[in-house]
Amino acid sequence: MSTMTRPARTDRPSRSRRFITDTLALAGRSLAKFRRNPQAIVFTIVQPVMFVLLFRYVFGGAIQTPPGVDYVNLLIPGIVVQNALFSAASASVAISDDLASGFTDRLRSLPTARLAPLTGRVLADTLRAGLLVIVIFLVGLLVGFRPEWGPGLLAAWLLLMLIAFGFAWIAVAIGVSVKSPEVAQSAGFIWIFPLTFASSVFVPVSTMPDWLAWFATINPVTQFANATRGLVLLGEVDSAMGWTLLWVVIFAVVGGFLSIRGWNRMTRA
Amino acid sequence: MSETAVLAEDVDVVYTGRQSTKRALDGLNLSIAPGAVHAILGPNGAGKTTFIRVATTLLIPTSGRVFVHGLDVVRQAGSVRDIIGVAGQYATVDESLTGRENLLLTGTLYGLSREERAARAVDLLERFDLVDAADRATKTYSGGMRRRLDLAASLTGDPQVLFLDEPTTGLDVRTRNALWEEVRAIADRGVTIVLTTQYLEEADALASRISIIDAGRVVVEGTPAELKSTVGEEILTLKPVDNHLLGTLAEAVGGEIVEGTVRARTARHGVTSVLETALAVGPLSSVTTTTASLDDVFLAYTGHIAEDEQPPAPTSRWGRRR
Ligand SMILES: Nc1ncnc2c1ncn2[C@@H]1O[C@H](COP(=O)(O)OP(=O)(O)OP(=O)(O)O)[C@@H](O)[C@H]1O
Ligand SMILES: [Mg+2]
Repeated sequence: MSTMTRPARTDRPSRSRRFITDTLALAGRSLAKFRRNPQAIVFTIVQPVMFVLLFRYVFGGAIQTPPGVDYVNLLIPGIVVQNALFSAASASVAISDDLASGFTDRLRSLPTARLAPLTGRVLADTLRAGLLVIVIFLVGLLVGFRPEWGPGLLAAWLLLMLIAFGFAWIAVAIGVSVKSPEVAQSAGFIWIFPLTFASSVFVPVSTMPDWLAWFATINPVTQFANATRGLVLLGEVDSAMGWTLLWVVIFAVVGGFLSIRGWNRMTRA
Repeated sequence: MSETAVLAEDVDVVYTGRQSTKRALDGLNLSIAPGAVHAILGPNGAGKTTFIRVATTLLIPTSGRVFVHGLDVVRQAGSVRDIIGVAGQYATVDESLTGRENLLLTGTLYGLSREERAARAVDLLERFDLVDAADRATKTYSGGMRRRLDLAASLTGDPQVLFLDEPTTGLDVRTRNALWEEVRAIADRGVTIVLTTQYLEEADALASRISIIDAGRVVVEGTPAELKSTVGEEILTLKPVDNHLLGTLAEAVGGEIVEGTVRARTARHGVTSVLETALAVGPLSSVTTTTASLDDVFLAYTGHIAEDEQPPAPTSRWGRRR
């Protein structure tokens, strides 16, 4: 009736502009999905709150702390690390869901910036981790957490988002390599438990048996927790911060590389 | 080359798994004219989805080339994506977004400006009768509404070529007929439509040309009328009294054995001679004659009957992987 074939559009924004708009649009979509899923919200928020209460009031009394240090002050900077990791890890399931549902196929058949589905996801999960950290800090304040240094809290918040960013790339790499969302669910989360429990997140490493203490010392999560504590409790940047930044770079680079490689391989039969 | 909307040259796709390899496309050749509605008709596993994935830049063929309006789907994938629209075998809208949000997101990804994509969304919601449901999450949509939204989304970029992979599989008859109307309306606007289907009726109802594919290659191509005439106009279904004679009977009349009967094809005036040959083999318990349909064309060229039943809709709300 009306239009016959028309020339291809020539008024497209530049590639880098497209990359940014597409990343933002897809991050917005992921966050909207989260916002509208009450179950996910409850799961992400109630679980850390329960951990806080459990460790603060049930186990906390039995855990030895250095003299003069209140356990809750060690706990909160540890729990935010655990939750930044959890938040980042959900990227693997989300990526895998989109692959299984065919949504990714649709994205890839559109003139979408090639990597925007991945960067959009990482951005969304980083921001979500930031939100979760704020919630936990607030709950912490209610149960007696007293940071020594205000600006350190802000710095810690940024650091935690950086940590989530690095881990999200690992999670994305898992998401693009596994065959189904069910596998992503287990592969994406299973490593978080040993990594966070065999670390200084909940208990001082010095109370662990030697072999475990050895693992906990080299465990990046211990560095993350210690770096966060340094910022909020002492307002201090120590070697843990150096290790943390190094690990973040390693996770982002290795995860990013594997993610992009897996993503590009999808067009192969 | 540019007079052809879609051109496929000797396309092979070999899926390589850990233990096995599967040749899904095996020297596929196709040429589709601009403005046509071209049906790719084939049974389960014929390679329809695989071809759509290659043509829409989702899968790089093992060998061979595909062009969309002269653009190579591998080397110029980005430009191809600018001019195509795709609606997959299962609707791929985002469940937690509303209908409008899905269209706005697609618009953004096509690089439309804020005003353009808002206007386009309003227009498409109206065209596909989704205005009332526009601001509801699509998880509340029925199967038919989801398909319509999927189709609307595939038109967001104002494509020149629209690929529809089994657009009506799993829909009830009424919804299917409504969707056929939508497809015709899109075709009327000059959009080339490549659609795959397992249903002969659908190809017959929508397409100006049909390619029948089986085991990854085109076995025959033509207009619906041409295809019907190549198999003969009359089909005789013969049932011998003695079932053991099925093989001999089939050979004598040059027909196929289908569910305990022999189906033989003939020109309008050849019916009596086929009957004479058949009776020479042995007595018949029943004889029916029918005018050839696309089913018979399908049978004649692929050696098996097309699936008649609608397969059940995908069990997961999200459809299935690939
Ligand atoms: N990712 C894959 N890995 C291995 N084999 C595959 C893959 N996808 C499809 N196949 C096989 O390739 C062949 C063609 O599949 P395809 O999905 O293209 O068929 P189809 O014509 O679309 O079938 P249907 O009508 O069931 O949708 C089938 O035998 C199928 O099992
Ligand atoms: Mg298919």
